[in-house]
Amino acid sequence: MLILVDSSTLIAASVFWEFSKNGYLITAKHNAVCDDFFKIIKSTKDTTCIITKTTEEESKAVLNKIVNDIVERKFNSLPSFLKMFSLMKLQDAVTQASTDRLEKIVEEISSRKPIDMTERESIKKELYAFFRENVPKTFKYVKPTMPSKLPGPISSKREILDAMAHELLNSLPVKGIIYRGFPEPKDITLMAEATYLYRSSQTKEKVYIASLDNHFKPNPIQVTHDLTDRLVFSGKVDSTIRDMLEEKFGFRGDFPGEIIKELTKKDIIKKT
Amino acid sequence: MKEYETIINKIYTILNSFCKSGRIIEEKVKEVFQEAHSTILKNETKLLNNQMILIKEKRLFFGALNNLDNVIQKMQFTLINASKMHENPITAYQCKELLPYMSNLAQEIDTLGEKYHEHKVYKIFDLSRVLRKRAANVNLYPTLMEEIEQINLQGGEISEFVEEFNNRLQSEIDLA
Repeated sequence: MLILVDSSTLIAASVFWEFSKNGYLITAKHNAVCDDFFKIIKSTKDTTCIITKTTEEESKAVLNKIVNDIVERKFNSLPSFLKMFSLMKLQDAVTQASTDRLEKIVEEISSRKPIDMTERESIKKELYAFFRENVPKTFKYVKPTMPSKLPGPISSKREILDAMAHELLNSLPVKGIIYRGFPEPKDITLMAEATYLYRSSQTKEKVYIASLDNHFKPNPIQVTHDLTDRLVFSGKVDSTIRDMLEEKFGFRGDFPGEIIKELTKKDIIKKT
Repeated sequence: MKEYETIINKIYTILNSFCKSGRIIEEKVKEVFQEAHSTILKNETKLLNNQMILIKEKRLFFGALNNLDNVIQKMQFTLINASKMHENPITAYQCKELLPYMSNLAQEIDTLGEKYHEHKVYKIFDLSRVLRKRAANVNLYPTLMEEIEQINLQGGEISEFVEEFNNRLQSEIDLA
């Protein structure tokens, strides 16, 4: 069994430090799940975890971008050199500690498998064709169109729209498929690598992509309408595109916690 | 001027004498390591005041100098402590293991000059990361908490940074 990891999972597992004396905590959302995911995978013999060089570099680039943006914004507005100096010390400590964790995960857990670049590029074309055909049929969230003549005050209009949104929700996926939108080139590359590994195993190998990104995993169904700015999570997910990708390309994208659940169900990971 | 190489040579002399005699002169250690710390501090100050350098490169070069400074300060503390606890010369040998990495880094910093070429800054940063990891393996790098405690920021300023970091991280992961 192969599990490829995308940058969102790697970053989330890497960013965690707690300055317990003063109670400061820097931690990525889903850090606990992603950290557990890597710990479990590390101790599981029947799985091979793959973090590609591109994913590792991208994750570091994201971390650096975040800190760079903060420093750039603050740097010249600080009242004294001492403050400027202290900010540089703080950002450096945070960035390098996160990078240490990231590199440790890669060193301890990741394997590398050979990838044929020509083949990968050819698979990318198939993936682009797939997304060009399917993304236009999808929606990022459920949003009923507001009828032009809706009677009554704003509050009752809001109630009607809420009801319409929920009705639409129940008719999914008949009326629409929820998906994040066209994936970025780096996502397509990772998908192509997962497909290559699946096909080169003569389709015998189960291949997962562990990700927090909605381009890979089932998408949460969120509801909104014209009289609100809020996106409300319905509690349901739409896995249509993920399942189509699995059917056509052989890899299954999922949230790291869900992969662990599935491996536990299949007894690949022993229940504790 | 081979400023950094000279510093590393002085540290090398101290460690050699420590390994041979099993004793160190505390004042001499303090003098050499303090000189190293002051040189790094002077260069960090010069770097931060230089308006011609991009923040990205400033951060990388500052990070490299900071890694070197942290190793040197931890080394000083450990050597003096080892001498008091009669743990020499094992500690001196551990410190000596780091010298090739410190020397490589020092040479690159010395040749950088005032131009801060991007590829050179990246190389220096990478060398400093190697030194940092090696030092951490033999407990000659401060822990994150020790590092943070040295930072002269008020609680609110750290919280502000933490909050902004967390928010940006969340939106980056969402976009990833």
